[in-house]
Amino acid sequence: MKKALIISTLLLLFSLSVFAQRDTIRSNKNEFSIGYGIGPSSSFRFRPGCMIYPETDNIGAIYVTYTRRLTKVIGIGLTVCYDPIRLNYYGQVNGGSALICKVNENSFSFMPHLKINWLNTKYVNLYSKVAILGIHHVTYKQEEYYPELYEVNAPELVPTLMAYQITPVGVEVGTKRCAGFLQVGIGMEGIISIGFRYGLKDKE
Amino acid sequence: MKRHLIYSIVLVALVSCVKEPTIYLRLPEEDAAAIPYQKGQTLNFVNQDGDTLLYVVTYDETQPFSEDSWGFYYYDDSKTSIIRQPWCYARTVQLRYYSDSADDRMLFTVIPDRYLYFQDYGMSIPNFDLKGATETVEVNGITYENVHVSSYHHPYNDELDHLWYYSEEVGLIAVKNNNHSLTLVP
Repeated sequence: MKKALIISTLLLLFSLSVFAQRDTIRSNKNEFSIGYGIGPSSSFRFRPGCMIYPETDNIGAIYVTYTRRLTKVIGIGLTVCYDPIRLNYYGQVNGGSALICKVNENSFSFMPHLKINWLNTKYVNLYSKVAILGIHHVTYKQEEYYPELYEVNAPELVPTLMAYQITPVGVEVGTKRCAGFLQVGIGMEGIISIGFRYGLKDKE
Repeated sequence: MKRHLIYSIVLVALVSCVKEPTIYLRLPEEDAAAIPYQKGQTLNFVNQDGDTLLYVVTYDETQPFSEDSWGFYYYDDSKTSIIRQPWCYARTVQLRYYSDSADDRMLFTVIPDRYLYFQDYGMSIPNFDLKGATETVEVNGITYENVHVSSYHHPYNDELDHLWYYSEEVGLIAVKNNNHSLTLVP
């Protein structure tokens, strides 16, 4: 009960501060951003107990977003993510270690998102972002090098899955037009990501 | 509530995680031949009471193998483990003796590189290297060559834990522990 009261109070204060800043700081109506994130969900591995672990060669997720600001606080838009994943499996061949299988996976995500700027100042913005109804598409290609020694079975692929991104907090530092940003969260954009945001000049 | 939230997050995270192939090391034919039995074959063994028992090879399959699931292959609902996933193919052969009063099963499994697993009488010899040294032994007046021997005595009372003779040409020659024994009748 006490916890619920504290949360309600915080939400109320948060709402008041949001409404208070709504018309004080102007934002661009149309924003574009490009970012790079490490640890995207599409690169998560969950294979306990495997004897043959791959060497992974993930560069992380690259993404671009477009956000249309409905108010100074709320914006909606679309995010497109690309996450290339390279897995190299090594095994014992003639007493030594050799590459037995190489997997190239490319993950593409398309996510509508909701972005809430809960602090707008002249040079610093704080925001949260959520995207839970996205589409995640994977292409998969494997190459085998010792089929006479190892049987390699491709996974059952479901070509289209759910994509998501939950960013509790992100910070933009810069001007109204251009800013760099850093955000933390979980999803296709990565656990930590950085990027650059560009705002189109509003028509007066 | 907290538990459900964690489950939901894990489920959502798993939905979009990396898709990986399953990779099994194949079992070469010469390694599979380290167990000389064929399905339907019958063998006679003499037990510790002098009774002759007729064993039949009732199971002979090559399947993906995990150390954790070994010993359960001869059941239809073979158990699997998330601790160690199957990583190679293994050939498993079961010898079964069945009567009104007894149901004994011996299990032999060979994995690549000629490692053998044996189980009977609640006794288990896992991961026996068939590439190791062999001996010449005499059992009931018959001399066997190229025999793999595994024996162990408890250090605190010198009691026999097990004595096991196995040949890749003949199969099991003898097995013995402190309560039971089986000796092949040629």
